[in-house]
Amino acid sequence: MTVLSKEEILRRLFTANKREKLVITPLISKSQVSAGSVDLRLGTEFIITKRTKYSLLDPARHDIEAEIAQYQEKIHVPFREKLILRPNQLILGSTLEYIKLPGDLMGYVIGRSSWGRLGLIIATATLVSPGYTGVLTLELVNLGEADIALYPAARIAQLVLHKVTEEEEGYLQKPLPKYAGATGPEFSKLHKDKEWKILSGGSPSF
Amino acid sequence: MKMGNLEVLIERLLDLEGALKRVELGVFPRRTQRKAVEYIIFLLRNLRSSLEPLSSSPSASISSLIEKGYELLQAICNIAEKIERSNVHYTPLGAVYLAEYLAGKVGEGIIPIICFQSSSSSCARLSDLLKITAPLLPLECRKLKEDVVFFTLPYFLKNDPLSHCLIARELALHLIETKGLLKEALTKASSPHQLLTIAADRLATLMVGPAYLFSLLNINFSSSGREERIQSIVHLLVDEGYYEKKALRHILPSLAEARPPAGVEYLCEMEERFKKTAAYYSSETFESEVPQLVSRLLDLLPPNEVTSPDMATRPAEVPSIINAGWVVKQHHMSAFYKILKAQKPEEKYHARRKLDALIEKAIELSVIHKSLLEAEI
Repeated sequence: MTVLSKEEILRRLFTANKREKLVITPLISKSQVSAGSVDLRLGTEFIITKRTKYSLLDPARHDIEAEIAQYQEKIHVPFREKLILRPNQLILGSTLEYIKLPGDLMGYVIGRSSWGRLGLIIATATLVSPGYTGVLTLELVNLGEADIALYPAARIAQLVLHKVTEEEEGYLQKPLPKYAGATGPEFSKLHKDKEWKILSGGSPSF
Repeated sequence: MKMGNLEVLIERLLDLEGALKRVELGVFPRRTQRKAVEYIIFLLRNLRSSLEPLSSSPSASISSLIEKGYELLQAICNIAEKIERSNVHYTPLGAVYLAEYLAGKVGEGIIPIICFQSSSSSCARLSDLLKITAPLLPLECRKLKEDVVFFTLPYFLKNDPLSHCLIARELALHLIETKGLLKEALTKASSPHQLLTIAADRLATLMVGPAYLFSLLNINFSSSGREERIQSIVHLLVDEGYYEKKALRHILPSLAEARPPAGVEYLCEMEERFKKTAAYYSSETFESEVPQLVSRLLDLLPPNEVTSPDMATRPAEVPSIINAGWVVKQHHMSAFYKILKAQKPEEKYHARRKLDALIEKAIELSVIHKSLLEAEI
């Protein structure tokens, strides 16, 4: 699995060949592409968590969706305004860019070191599957001591692209994935995994 | 009796001030709402400080002041309700971006606030409050740098971003009224109301293209002049060259429906002048952008960018994004369902919501992309 060079990323972005085409839209400036990666910007939508009567998020519970709905709140921060991330706070954001990977590419989302030095972690689940379509949800955590101001459209993450040895069946050709075509950050859909029925000891009882 | 009325009025003004402070705590998509509330509270306080001394030393003008006070109270309640309804829970962002885009193109120094209400109501303006209170205000406060205009759309359209382009009609009505575009014609017309309605329809069509007609037909409206309105829009779309566009084949109403409206001679001059402004959306722009944007939607991509033959990209015009959405909705939905493997009614519903989400995302991306290019980031 090789890492794509700057030249190859640019070629993939501007090729007319649909099979090979990498879509990152909008790509405001070619300067976002550097050796081995593409800088991604922060979107305007966020999911913040709030304190509720629920003390436990258990993906095996039958009423987990209702719990999640109470636990989270979607907010919008307009362009040219900011969101303050407190120390140890977790919020979900997304990339401004909408991405579509061809079947022979996969990616890893990583933070930019300038932000990392302030204590900002941008993603913990970093794999982007071949053929993925949508914005990328970012798990933003402030591990520093001071508040951090986050501005929509600021370059916050990098997408490192790899060529897979054999072309994968496109993300959308498989049974529809949980996060296909996302246009904003999405909360965990862990509870939709089939294994919970077995792991939690069968059907939920009432 | 009059003194009693004055005290009641002062109490109501205080009540309203308290209610507005609670409204101010809402979560809004823009700072405009908060600024509007601050401004209204400023007006209320000025009115109170003019009225309060009168409770101890009555003057001859007390009746007219009380009357003015109640007039203001009524107007503020109307606007406060609109501000409250324009919070993030009631107002989709796509509509906010669209209204700002159109208002920016019209360039009349207005800041729009969109709200979705069950009852239809005409647009209101912050400057209307100023007109009522102006005599009571210090001279330096009698002018607004930018007017805040409240546009209302029916509540059932809240989650239908393609139909949000009906905002163009509200904006057209605002322009006709504030700029006196048809002043003379309206006095001469046999049915001024119908002429105003048709003029607003036609200006809206010049702002957003055929998407306006699709939205109007989509709400299944019924009014006495319905036929004439549709015929007039179709007539304008023919004149604008939309019937020659491949993307619109089989979607637009029959050409037989094209008929010029009564009073077309009054409208021509207004329309020609409008076509020279930045707010005019031409069929050439439609032709150069919409087919590409339709292809993007069918690739499950937001239709926010167009690519030129040299592979350079630029943000799409917002009316093109909405028109592309309508073209897919009218002509390519079976292909869209197939991409998302939607077969059951519930799956089809979610596929339609996905289309809406892509449209809203594209509008936001196009607007931010343009701002970043202008800032040369």
